[in-house]
Amino acid sequence: MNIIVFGVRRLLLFISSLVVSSALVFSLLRLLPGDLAQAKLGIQATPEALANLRHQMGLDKSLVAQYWTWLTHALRGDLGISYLSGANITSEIAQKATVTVPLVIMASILAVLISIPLGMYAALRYRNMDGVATSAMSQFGIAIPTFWTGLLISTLFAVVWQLMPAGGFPEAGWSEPGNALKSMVLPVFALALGQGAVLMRFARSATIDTLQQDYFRTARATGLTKVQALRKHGVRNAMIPVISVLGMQMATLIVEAIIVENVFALPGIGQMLLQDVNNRDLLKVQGIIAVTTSIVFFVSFLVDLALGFLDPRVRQS
Amino acid sequence: MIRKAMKGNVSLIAGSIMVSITFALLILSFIWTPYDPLAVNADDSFAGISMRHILGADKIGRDILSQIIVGSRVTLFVAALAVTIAMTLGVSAGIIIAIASRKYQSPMIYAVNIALAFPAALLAIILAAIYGASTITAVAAIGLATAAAVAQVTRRTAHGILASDYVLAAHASGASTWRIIRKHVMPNLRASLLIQASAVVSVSVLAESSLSYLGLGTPPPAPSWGRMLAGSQQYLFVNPLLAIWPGIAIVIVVLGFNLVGDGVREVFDPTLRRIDS
Repeated sequence: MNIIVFGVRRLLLFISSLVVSSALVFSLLRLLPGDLAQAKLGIQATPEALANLRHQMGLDKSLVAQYWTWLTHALRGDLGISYLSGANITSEIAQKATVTVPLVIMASILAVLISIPLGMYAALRYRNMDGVATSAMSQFGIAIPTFWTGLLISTLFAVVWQLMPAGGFPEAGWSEPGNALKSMVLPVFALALGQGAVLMRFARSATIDTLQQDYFRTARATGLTKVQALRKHGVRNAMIPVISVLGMQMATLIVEAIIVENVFALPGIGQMLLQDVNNRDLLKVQGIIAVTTSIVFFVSFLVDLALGFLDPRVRQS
Repeated sequence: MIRKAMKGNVSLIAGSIMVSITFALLILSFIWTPYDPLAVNADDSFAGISMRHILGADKIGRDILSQIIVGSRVTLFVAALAVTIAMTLGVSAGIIIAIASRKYQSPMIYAVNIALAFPAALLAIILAAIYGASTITAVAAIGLATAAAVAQVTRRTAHGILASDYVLAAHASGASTWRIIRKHVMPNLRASLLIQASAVVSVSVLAESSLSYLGLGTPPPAPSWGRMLAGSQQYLFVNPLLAIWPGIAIVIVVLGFNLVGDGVREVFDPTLRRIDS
């Protein structure tokens, strides 16, 4: 398949996924007994006031019309106004994203940096104790819930050794880069360790696969040592599954970021989302989930494109 | 047969031991616990490890060991229901998609892919926003979210089986679709289903503990490992050990089921034994 046709098809898939998933979340959140107007005015509201507000908020229109209004506004970057706090939802998400986005990006990079060398090492030494131990470590990493990793490393580094803050984020945000970065260290590690353990298994099996290929044997026959040959052929082959799994894991990674933000009291999107769920601020919950799933679909779109570009076999399927 | 499968299969042996410990805790919770897990005793506040409290006590003097034993109930209850939902929905959807005609196949695959963008915790957050957090919302979210993954793996595996020569031969000899599913697809899916089921249990236990930690799971007072850990966080400076025990319990369950899954994979795929053990 032509790379352009492939790209266009993936783009259409991406856009339609966005529309379908947002419609799904929209209708789920509207299944509630009572409605936004009722929630805003309370039980004692007069029927006239309710009808008035419903009209004002557009709730008397059909569900499809309401969704259309929400979608067209959302596409222009307007997710509405929280009916509890009166704040602009888009700008609040944008403000909180300054914490969450760097957290997820730094953790992804760290996870890749941990997983590829360790995975290759475990593959190279799979018959030896140290290789088996490295694999066992990744099994543990997968089995440990992220919030517990967070708790443990904050116990060690913040309570016992008192090297790092146990949580929080500078009031001034990134305008205090040193402090901001410092409060990111433990959360990034908490997030990256679990992800790295998952990715490591894929790096390891990809490398074991490489070790058995003819081209690897040829490379060895030309006089390269195992490590040299792996550096030449193994890293790339380990990268492909790691990148594609990282793309598939993006949804999980974002959810884990929500959890980690709560462990370390980071004022990001995740912490905000939980507060809004507890307050039943539905319009805001809807906005946050729409943004999160869009990011997930966008990342998997990018990963698909990258893989299609790198590996012609992907384009065929 | 079991003894043969176990021989030299470290994953299966270690995993079975851990899973047995988990079920032993569950059974024990109905027979005996050192204390009533909810009994408050101000004198024992933050009691350390002692003969009186083997794993210590929390702020209001509740015995940690008793809470951990009883906490296995919520964990395994949620996991059992979630795995039932995920396997029933996921396997039927996966097989239906695999046998469907091309025309219907791609929209269904598309729907599964969309469902995959909503991991268990995100779905649980949505459901909690609508109905309020409870065990039921957690079970439904975990079951539905993992069903999508099960459907995807089942579809791929079933697709491979349907493309094989023996299925073609069965077709040629006039076997009905239903007969092919029953006689060829299901038996060949068995290993993959067993592996998936153990993976779903692990994911469910992880998701349940995370949801309880966030306050989106089973509401108090029923003891749950995730909530115990959430409670311990305030007192890290007073008694960091409280943040250890429930976590170990979670890891034993998750690691146990993961290892059993790996072990089963090894039994059914002997090629793995040579290289990827």
